[in-house]
Formats: sequence, C-alpha cells, structure tokens
Amino acid sequence: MNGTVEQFKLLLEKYKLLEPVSLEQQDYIIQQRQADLQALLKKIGRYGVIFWLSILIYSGLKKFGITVTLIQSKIILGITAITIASGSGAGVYTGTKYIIKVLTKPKSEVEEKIEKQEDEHINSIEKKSAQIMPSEVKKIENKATVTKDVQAEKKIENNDKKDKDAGGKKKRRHEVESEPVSDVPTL
Amino acid sequence: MKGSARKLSIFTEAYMAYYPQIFNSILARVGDVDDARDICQEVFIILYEKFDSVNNVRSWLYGTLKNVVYRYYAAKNRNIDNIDELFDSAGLAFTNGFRDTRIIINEAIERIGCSDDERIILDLIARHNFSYANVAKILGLTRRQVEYKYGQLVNCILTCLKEKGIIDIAELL
Repeated sequence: MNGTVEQFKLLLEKYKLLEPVSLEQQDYIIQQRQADLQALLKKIGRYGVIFWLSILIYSGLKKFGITVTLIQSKIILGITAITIASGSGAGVYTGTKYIIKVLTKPKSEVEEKIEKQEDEHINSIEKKSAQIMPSEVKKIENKATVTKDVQAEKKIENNDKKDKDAGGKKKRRHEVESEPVSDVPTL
Repeated sequence: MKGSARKLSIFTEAYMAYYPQIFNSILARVGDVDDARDICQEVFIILYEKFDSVNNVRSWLYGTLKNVVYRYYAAKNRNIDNIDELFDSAGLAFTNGFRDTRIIINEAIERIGCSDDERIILDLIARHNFSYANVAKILGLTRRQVEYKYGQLVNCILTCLKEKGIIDIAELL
C-alpha cells in the first residue's frame, strides 16, 4: 500500500496539484484555529462563556479520539455543571451545618455546665453525708463503748487469772509440802 | 432561538473541520499569514450568514475563497489579470501538454465517493502535504486510522483512474 501512496504523491507533484505546507505552518494553523474561532464568534456576536466551554469540551474530547457533536458536548457540559453544583451545594450545606453546630455550643456555656455539675456533685455528697451522719455516729459511739467495755473486761480477766495463778501456785506448794511421801511408786 | 443555536453548533463544527485547508489555500495564494487570517475569517463570516442556504460546505467555501481573494487583490491594486494563474485550476492550466491528464486526475480525486472526514483527509494529506499526525489531531482520530483511511482513498482514486483508461500510474510518471 505504501508503494501506491508514494506513487500517488509523485503523480500529484508532477502534475502540480499540490499546495504544500511546512510542518511549522501546520502546527501554527492547528494552534491558531481556536483563537481565530473565538475572534470570529466575537465578531458575529455569538460569543458566550457557556458556548466556549462546550467548544473546549468538544475539542478536548477530540484530542483523546472521542468524536462528539457540539450539541452532545453542550449536554456533557450541562451534566458536569449540575454535578459540580449539587456536589458543591452539598459540601457547603454540610460545612455550614457543622459550623452552626460548633457555634451553638460556646466554650463558656460548657464551663458553666461543668461548674454546675461539680456543685451538684458536691451538694449530693454533702446531702448524703448529712443523711448518713446520725446513724453512723451512733454506730461509731456504740462501737467505741463496746470496745472500752471489752477492754475493761479483758483487764479484769487478766488480773483474775494472775491472781488465780498466784493462788494456785501457793496452794500447790502448800499441798506438796503437806502431802506425805508414799512408798508406792507411781506408774 | 433554538434553530440559531443549532445552526451555530453545526457552523462551528464545519469551521473546525475546514479551517486548516481553507487557511492553507488562502495562504498559498496570498503569501502573508496575517492577511490569510483576515481573509479566512471573512470567508467564514460569509458562510455563517448564508449557512442555511449552503448545501455543500466544502465547495461553497472554495468558491467564496476565490471571490474574497479577488477582492483582496483588487483592494491592494495588484494585477487582476494574473490572479487566474494563482488559482491555477486544472481546466485553465496548460503545463507542458499535461492538461488532459491533470483534468482526469483532478476529476478522479473530486468524484470518489467518500465522507466529509475522508475528503478532509484527502485534501490535507494529498494536496497540502499535512502529516498523518497533524490530520489525526484535526479530526480527532489516531494516526493509524488516518494512514489507513488515506491508503483506502488512494486505492479508490487509482480504481477510478483505471476506469478512465489509466491502468498503471507509473505510465504517467
């Protein structure tokens, strides 16, 4: 196929059917195309931002090999705009909601609440202690008297024991001294 | 309003497709880039104004291009007698007895049945010597697609020439 293409090119050259353009000029024309279109649209009074954006989408998709019509690119632009608007709207809504939430809970109020809570806590403890006190005190007093009595009794018992021990020892000595020594050996 | 918006969309598509070859044709005849841009813009403005009555955009553009270039030369006080040479149509030219062959080749190129995109490929590559890559950029195709389509178009032209009695183009070279 390349052979026939080359031969065809030579044929056109020979019969002067060519209007060749250099590579630099080709690049210039491709670059200039959009700028000239913008100027032309301004001249005929049909230049608009939305239309221009749809042209940018049209040519951008063409660069990636996706061929769409300008009407289709307008639809794409519309869908994109709606998506962006709804997305940003949702973002703004949640953002403001969060900010409002934060603003409605000021720090000073929080501190007051804590103080209140602390006060309440202290009050409740005092109340509890007030409720508990009379019985507790009585119990403690009772406990104290009981322990005192027990200690006194213990002392008396100890003294008695001492006395008994001392008396017992004396008695034993006396008995041992008074008992006659038997000849019968004990078992 | 809806109709005018649709018209503007179709016009813009036509502009994007035909701008390179129209600009080249003007530049080849005028020689100055800035003048070529002005003339090109004028041609497309006239196209927009008469867009509803235009059937074949490509042939209309080439016809209007000729008129606008004539006017440009007239405004610049250049010799209008030589302007025909600038357009050097196959019918008018007589170069070393090649006239008939030129007409046949030109007819074969013009008459092959192809789509607008294929016609643009043929014009840009065959006439204006555009690279495959640049044509791919203009039409939003891949380089290989352009190369393949151009090969197919050349084969169509050669078949057309065979029908007109030119069996091998090597005879003409």
